[in-house]
Amino acid sequence: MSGSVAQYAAILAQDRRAAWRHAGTLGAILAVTGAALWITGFFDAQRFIESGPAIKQLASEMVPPNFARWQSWLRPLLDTLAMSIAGTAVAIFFSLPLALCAARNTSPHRIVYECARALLALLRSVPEIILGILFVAAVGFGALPGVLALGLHSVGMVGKFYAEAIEHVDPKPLEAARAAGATRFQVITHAILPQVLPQLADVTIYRTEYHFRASAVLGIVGAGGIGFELMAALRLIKYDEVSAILLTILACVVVVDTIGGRLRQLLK
Amino acid sequence: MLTAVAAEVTYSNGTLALTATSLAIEPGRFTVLLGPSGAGKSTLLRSFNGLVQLTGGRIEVAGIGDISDSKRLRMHRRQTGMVFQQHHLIGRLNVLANVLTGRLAYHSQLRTLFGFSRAEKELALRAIDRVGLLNEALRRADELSGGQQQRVGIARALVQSPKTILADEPVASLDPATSEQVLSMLHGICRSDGLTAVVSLHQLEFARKFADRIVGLHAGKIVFDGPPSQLDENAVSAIYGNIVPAGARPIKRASIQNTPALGVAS
Repeated sequence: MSGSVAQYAAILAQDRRAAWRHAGTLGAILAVTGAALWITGFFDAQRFIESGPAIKQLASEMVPPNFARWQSWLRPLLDTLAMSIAGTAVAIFFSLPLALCAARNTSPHRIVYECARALLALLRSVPEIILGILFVAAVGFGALPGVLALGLHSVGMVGKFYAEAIEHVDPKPLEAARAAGATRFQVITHAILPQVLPQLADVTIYRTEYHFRASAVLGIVGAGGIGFELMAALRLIKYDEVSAILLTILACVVVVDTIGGRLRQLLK
Repeated sequence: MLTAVAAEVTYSNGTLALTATSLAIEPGRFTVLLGPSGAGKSTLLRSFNGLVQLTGGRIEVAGIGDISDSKRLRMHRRQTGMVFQQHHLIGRLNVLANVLTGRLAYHSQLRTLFGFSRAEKELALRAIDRVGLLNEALRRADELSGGQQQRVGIARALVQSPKTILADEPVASLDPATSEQVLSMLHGICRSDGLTAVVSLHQLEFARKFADRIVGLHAGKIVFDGPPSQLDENAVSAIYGNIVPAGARPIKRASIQNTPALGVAS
């Protein structure tokens, strides 16, 4: 028994050291967070105090929302919906072949694989608002540059998800198709795609929902849709109209997300 | 006729799975590759349709030639149905769609993109009917029992209108009663259609029951080749080493029972 007292002490000492280490980690995290807040001007109390009346002013101008012009938002809303669906179509069109190149088990060659991965990463890393500005400059104002920006940016994301789904297929049916004399292409169309179709559809539907939200922002750079109306209201300092448009967008997002959710449930 | 000529397989990790092996499979017979796991029977079987690539030697097919050429390999695979241990079905597709993958090699890539013709589907239904699953044709494969799934696997091989069936441990993941049913179905079909069958098994009693010829493997070498009647206790211990396999026990008991009788006779 006397030996165990020393053992207890050793165990407790070890426990204390672990506790100190945890405290150190926590302290470091707090320090980094504090520094980040300080750098971004969060500790400047004066600005918060002065902002009070301005926020009050804005809020009072936003309420009540002014839905007087609702009829003129219908077409832009339809445009936005069309943009999100067309953007998804563009994304699928480029994602599928790229994903097949970027999945280890279907890529024709190691170099192709690396290139496809790099291209997907590149597309992901260019924000759609930048793509939007570029395409507005290239093809002019309207829904078209919005669709191109949404679609191409999404290729980076969707293609990566597709590739990952393809890499995780059950290899057994692939072997069966090969044994029956199927070509590489037939193995893809008849053994891989049937397996991953639900996952691909899931990602695609989610992306359509996302496109609806994102296309509202794209309107700001002149890429059509309801975002364009939002920007116009902001420029004219009609905050009651801004809040009305925001509420309309919110309602539409809820509807689109609900439909998307139902669709995904059907695929399970 | 399917011939392995000094076929040798060394896996990339350096394991010698099959030492230079020559073996001719006669047409129309039910040949069983027998051996414990790791003996190389799957490797040998899979080299017969190029699923395992040889690192030495070659596989010759009568009427086609050396199958190391990709065009000939596809031609050979088209007329060679394969049945797998774990069925290798796509769970979320129905039985009909799974069986139709057996027809892929008969069509161009572009053609198969647009689905199969009615005639092809009828051919598939006939194969499904033969394995007794016509009522399940439109059910998802993953809703079926293990035995039913393996029958779908057999139907997928049959729809190829094969000359040869390769079966890689077709009943290893089934219970004994179902195993017997599935094997006797496979055996019956091969018999009535005059198909050449090469089947790898690790159960001695099934090998004895169904095989016309048993090829015993041990540690990547053929250690026995003959009809089941010649598979005596020496041959069994050559195949399984000193470990008596589960399947060998009833046989052993039988031979013990035989010994006193022989003693009386002599």
